[in-house]
Amino acid sequence: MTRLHSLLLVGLALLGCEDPLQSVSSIQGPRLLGVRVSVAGDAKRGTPAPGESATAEFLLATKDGDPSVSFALEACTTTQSYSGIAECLATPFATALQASPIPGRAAFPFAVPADLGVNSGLRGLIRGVICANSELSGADSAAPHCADGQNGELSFDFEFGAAGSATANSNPELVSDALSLDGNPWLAATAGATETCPSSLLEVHAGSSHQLSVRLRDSDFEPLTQLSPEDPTRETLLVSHFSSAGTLGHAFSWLTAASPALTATMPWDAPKTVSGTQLIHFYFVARDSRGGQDFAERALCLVP
Amino acid sequence: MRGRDPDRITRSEAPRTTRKGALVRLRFTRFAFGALVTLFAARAVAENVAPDDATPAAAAVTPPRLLSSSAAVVPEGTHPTEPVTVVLSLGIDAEGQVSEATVVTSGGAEFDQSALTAVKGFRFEPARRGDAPVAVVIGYRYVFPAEIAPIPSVPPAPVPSTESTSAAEPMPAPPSAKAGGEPEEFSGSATIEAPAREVTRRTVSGEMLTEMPGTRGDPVRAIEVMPGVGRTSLNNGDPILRGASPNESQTFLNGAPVPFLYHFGGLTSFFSARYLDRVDLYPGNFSTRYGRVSGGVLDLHTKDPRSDGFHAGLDLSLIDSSAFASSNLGSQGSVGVAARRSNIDLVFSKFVPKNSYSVVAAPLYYDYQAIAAYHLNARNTARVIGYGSRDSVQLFFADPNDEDPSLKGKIGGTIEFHRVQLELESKLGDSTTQTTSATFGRLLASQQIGDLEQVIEGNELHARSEWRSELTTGLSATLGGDLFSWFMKGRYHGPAPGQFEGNPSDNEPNSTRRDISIEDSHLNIVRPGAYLEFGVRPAARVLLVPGVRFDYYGDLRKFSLDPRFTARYEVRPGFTLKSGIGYYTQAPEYYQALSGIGNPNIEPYRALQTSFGFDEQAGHAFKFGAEGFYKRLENRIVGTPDGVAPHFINDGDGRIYGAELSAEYHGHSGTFAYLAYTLSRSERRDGNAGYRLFDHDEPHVLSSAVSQPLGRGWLVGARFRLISGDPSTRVVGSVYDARTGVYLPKYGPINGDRDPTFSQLDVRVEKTWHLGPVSLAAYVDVLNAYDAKNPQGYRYSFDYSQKQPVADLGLFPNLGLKGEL
Repeated sequence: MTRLHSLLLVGLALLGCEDPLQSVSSIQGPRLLGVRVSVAGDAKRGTPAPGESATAEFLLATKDGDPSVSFALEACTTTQSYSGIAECLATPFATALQASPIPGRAAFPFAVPADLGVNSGLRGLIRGVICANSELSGADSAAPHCADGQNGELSFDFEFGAAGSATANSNPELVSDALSLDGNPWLAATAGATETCPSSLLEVHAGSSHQLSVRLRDSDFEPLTQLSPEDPTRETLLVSHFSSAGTLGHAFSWLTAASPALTATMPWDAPKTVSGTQLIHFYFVARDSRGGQDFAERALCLVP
Repeated sequence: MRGRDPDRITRSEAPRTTRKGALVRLRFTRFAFGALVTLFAARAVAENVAPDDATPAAAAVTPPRLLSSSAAVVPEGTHPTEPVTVVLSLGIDAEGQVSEATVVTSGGAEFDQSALTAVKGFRFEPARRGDAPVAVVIGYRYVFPAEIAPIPSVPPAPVPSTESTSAAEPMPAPPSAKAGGEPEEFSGSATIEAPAREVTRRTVSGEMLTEMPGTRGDPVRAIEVMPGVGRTSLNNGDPILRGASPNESQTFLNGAPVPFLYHFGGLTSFFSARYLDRVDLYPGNFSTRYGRVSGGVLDLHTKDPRSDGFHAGLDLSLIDSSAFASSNLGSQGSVGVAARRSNIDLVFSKFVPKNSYSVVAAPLYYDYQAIAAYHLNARNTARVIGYGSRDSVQLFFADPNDEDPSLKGKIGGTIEFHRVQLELESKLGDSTTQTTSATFGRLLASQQIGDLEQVIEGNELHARSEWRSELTTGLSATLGGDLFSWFMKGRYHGPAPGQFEGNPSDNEPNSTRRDISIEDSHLNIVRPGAYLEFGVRPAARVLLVPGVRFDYYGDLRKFSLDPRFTARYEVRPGFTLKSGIGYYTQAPEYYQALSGIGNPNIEPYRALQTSFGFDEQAGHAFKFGAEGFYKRLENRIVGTPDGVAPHFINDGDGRIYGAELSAEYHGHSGTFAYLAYTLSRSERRDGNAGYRLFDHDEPHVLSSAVSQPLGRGWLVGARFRLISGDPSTRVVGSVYDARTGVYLPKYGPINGDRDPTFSQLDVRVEKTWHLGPVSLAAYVDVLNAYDAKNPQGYRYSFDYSQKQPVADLGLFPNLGLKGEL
C-alpha cells in the first residue's frame, strides 16, 4: 500500500503541471517503436516453431520519417523471468550485422534450429542495437552502439509455437483503413519524407484540434486459455500512438473485444504556429502482450 | 504493558525527568468543588477580586495544571525493599509557583527531603476561578518504590479528599490556610519509577508528545528528534531504527503489534495523542518481552481518560480535524472517546486537472479511539480499549499512464483495522504483579492498480500475559507469554514480489514484469512466544538482566531461542554505564513463505546486537548520553536471481555499526530542548555479492528541537534536522522492451550514489487563551520553513534519458484551532 500511495502522490502532484520531461508520445529523435515477427509462409503468425524461418521487422521513427538503419542483432532462447532484461540462455542461433546505415525498413531474417528443444517456458529473444541515420560503432565488440549516441538497445521476446499449437500466436493487423482522422479515412502517405507536403496528404491548420482513431477487428482479439475463471477469455490489445509534432492526449490505449467499435480514439492538438508547411509523421503500434504486433505510419501536412 | 514495565505505574499527563534512573510522575485527581468548599470553607484569593466579591460557589474552579516538574530521586545509599510513601501539602500561588511545601505524612527524613527538594522546581499553570488565577493547596503523595521490586500495577489508594463521598478522612487543613482566605484544595499523587532495566529506552511524554515542532502534534513523529532514528522517505513514516529496515522494527500499542502506523501521506499516526501517555523507543537491545523483530521497538502506551468530570475538545487544522470527550465513570473509573478525520477530500476534487482522471473516492482517512478504565478494587484494574483506522482512495484513469501503460482503470485501495483490547492488571500479593491483555480485531488491506490486485482480510488475535515478582532481595523475575495470530484470506494478481530492499528493479513498470495469481482462503499465522527475564543485583549499584525468549512460528514450523543480557553499573549518582548483547530473531513477511510466490521452507533470520554506553543526569534538568552499537544480521532473507522459484532464500547478511550522542534539557517553565547526533553505517550483502549500502543508510543524522513558553499563553518552538541523503542507484542506460513498448533501466552499482543532504527547519507558534473552563488555542506548524527542496531520488523520462529530482514536502504551514473544555 505504501508503494501505491507513493505512486499516487508523486504522480498526482505532477498532473496539471507542465511536465519538464519529454512525453513518450512525442518523437523528437530516432526511436525504435515496434518489432514484428512473421513466420515465412504464414505471415500472420508471430510464433515460429523449430525448423521454421521467420523475419523480424523493426519500426524506427524519426522526426523526418524513413530513416536509414544500421544494426547488430542476435536471436537466441530465453525464459520468461519475473522482471528485468531478458538474457540469452545459450549461444545465439542467428545474428545480423549492418554497420553502415542503409535505406528502408530494418529486417532480420532468422531460422529457428530444428533440433531446438522447445519446452514449457522457453521463449525466443531478439536483442541488440539498432540505429537510425547513424553508423554502428563497436560492431565487433561485445557492446556495439550507435555512433551518434542515440540509445538503440532493444530486447524483444516471443513465443515458439507451430500453427495450431497451444502457444501459437497471431499478430494483430492494422489494415489500410484502420486509421481515421476526425472520422475520415486516413490512408498511408504515398510519398517519402520530404520537406514539402505531398498533395495527397490530409491538411490540418496550425492550432487546430483533432481526433485520431485506430480501429481493430474482432479477429485481432484471439482467444486465451483460462487458467482460472477470473482470467480473460480473449486478448487485450495495447495501442501506442506517436507524433513528430503537436501534442497527443495520451500515449497508450487499451482495447478489448468489448470496446466500443473496437476503436481507440485519442485527441491531438496541432502545433500553434508553422512557417510555411510542415510534414508531421504519426506512428501506431498494436500489441497483444504475447509478442504479436503490427504497426502503421501516417502523415499530415500542417498549414497556417 | 503497565505491570511489566519498570518505569511506570500510572498513566498521567506530567512530563518526566530522570535522575539516578528514577522518574517522577504526577497524577492529579480532581475533586468535586462542592465537597471542597464544605470541608475547607475555601474562598478564592485572586489579584483582582476582593474577598467580598468572591463567590466561590458561583464560579467554577479549574485545578492547576503541571507544566514542568523535576525528578525526585531515591536518596543515595538507601535501597528500600518496600515502597516508601511521602505525602506533602503544596501551596500553589496565583503565578503557578510552589509557595510552600510541608510534609503531611513522613516517609523518613531522607525521603522527605528528597520530595521537598523536587517540588521546589515544580511549575504550574495556576488554578483559576473563572478567568482569575487563584492560589490553591494541593496534596501530593510520592511513592518511592523498592529498588527492584515490581511496581504495583494498580494505582495507590486514592488520597483522602474532600471530594470523595466515601468514608475516607479528609486531608488535614494546610498550615497556610487563613481564615477568610483559605485556598482551594486538590489532591494528586506522584510515583517514582524504578530504575531502568534496558540498555536504552528513550521516551516521549508530556508536552513533547504534542508540542514538538514539525510533527503537527503527532506523538509518534516526535521520536524523529532522537538519536538512532533515521529519516523516512516521502510518504513512508515507518521509522528507520539504527539502520534497520522498516519491517525489521515493530510498533506496539500496550504490547499488541500494530499493523499500520501512519495514515497515507505519512503525516499522521493512527492514534490520538489525547490518550497516549508516552511513546517508548527502544532502538536496539530491547527486552525479551518483545520479539519477532531484529531491529527496534516502538511501544505506545495509552493513558486513562481524565476522571475529574466531563471534558471535551476540538482541533481543526488544514490537514485533519479531531474531537474528543471524556468523563469519570463513577468514582473508580473513567471513559473517553476521540475521533479524527482528514480534510483532504474536501478540496481534492478542486485540484484534479481536466481530462486526467476521475475521482471515485477522494483520499480520506479517519481513526477513532475509545478507552474505559475501571479500578475494580485496590488490587485490580480493568481496561477496554477500542480503536481503529481507515485509509481509502479510489481513482479512475480512463487512459493508461504514459509511463506505465499497465496503470489504468481503477487505481486505489483501502486499508483499515478495527480492534478491541481488553486488559487486566492485578497485584497478586505484595511482591507479584500480573498483567493480561487480549486484542481482537479485523483487518482489511486491498489495493488495485488496473488489473493488478492485492487483497488480504480477516481476523487477528494478539495476547500477552506477564508476571513479575520479587523473589528475594536483589532478585526479581519476569515470566511472560505473547501471541501473534492472523486468520486471513487473500488473493493476489500482479508481479511476483521480490526483495524489497536493495532491489531497484522492484520499481520498474509493471507492464514489463510477469504476473502471478494466487488465492488463499486459509492464510492462518499463529506465532506464540514466551520469555523469562531476571533482575539481579550482586551489588548495590550493579544491575544484571539476563533473559531468554522463545518463539514458535506456526506457519513455518520453525522456532527460535534468543538469549539476551543487559548490564547497568551506577558508577556514581547520576552516571550509569550500560551495555547489552543478545540475539533478535526476525519473522519472515507472510508472503515470503506463501507457496506460489514465496518459499514455504524459508527460515526466520536473526541479528546479534551489542551496545555500550553511558547516561549522565546532570542536575535536575540536564541529561546526556552516548552509546556505541554493532549489529550483525545472519541468514537474511533475499530474493532469488530473476525472482525464480523458490523466490526467497536465506542467503544474505548485514552489518550495522555506529554511535549516538544525545543531550536533553527540561526546564522549570515548560521549556524543553533536545540535541542528538548519530554516526552510523548500515550495509547488506546479498548472496555472494560484496557488501553494499542499505537503502536507508544515513551516516550523519543531526537533530535538534526546542520549545519555550513565552508567557501569556504563547509557546514557540523549532526543530532542525540535518541528515545525509539516502543511497540511490544510478540509471546508466536503458533497453527498449519491444514486446511491452516500455523501456527498462540499466543500473550502476546498487546504492552506489547518494541523494543530496537533507535539511529542514520546522517552526511552531501557539497562543492559548483561557476563558473560564474553556481553553482555546490557535497554532501554526510551519513544516520546512525555508522551503528546502531536499530531493529524494529522481523521476525519469520514458527512456531514462532525462531525469527530474523528486522533492520532499515543500514549505507547508498547517494552521489550526483547538478548544478544550
